[in-house]
Amino acid sequence: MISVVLDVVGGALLLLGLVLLTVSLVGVLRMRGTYGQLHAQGLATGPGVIAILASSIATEDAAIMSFAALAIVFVALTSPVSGHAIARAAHRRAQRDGDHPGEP
Amino acid sequence: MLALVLRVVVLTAIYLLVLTSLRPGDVLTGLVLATVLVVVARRLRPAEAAASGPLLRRLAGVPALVGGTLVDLVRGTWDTAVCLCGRGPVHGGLVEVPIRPCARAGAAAWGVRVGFVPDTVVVEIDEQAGRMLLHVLDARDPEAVVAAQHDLYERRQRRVFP
Repeated sequence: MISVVLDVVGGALLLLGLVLLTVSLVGVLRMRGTYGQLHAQGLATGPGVIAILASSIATEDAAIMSFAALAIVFVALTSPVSGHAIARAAHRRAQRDGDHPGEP
Repeated sequence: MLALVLRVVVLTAIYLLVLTSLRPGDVLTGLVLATVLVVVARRLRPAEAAASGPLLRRLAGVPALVGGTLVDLVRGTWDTAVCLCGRGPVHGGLVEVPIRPCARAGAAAWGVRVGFVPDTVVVEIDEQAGRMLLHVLDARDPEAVVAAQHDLYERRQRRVFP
């Protein structure tokens, strides 16, 4: 019974992650400004990847789930930093070139 | 002292999780590495660790920080996905959020917590000047954005990373 529940939850998380990655990809292609694209990629590098990693509970393997948990912590700490680095570079470039800072 | 032991235990646990091993040799290696790291880090920045407040009080705030950040993540994910499936961030813009001058760890935690949610992008953060520049999906009311950020800081973060 628990195995079936874990399978269903894992499958749902996997589906959710794939949907978020797809929306993110569409967003990155549609958005023009750097900030808009960063919002879009934030869907993939944050909740999208986390949902896919969390779907590892369906494996019922402690080692795999441990790695997934560590990867989630790693992603949670590094994805905001990478987004911030790109945003800061875009902001400074816009200031240097005199562009509108909102949409570099 | 309790904080040092806790750090050593957490670092050792991460090391053993990465190895997926509980062999005595691996445990010992993890303990030695973690102890060296903690001691070196303490010698590099002793003042900040002491100024962060009582450890137990900070630990008591961790559930609110993690749980609240997850709630923010779900809400921000929904808002961003709806925005991206629609016309995009047509009202997006930069908002400057004044932050009270705080420790480097507090400012870093604030930046990571806010940047983790997809509907906000941290553009600049300066803990000494007390200023954080955000790009948000809806910047029509900057004062509301500032008030919301301050409210989230008070409710989620202040006890753990003041």
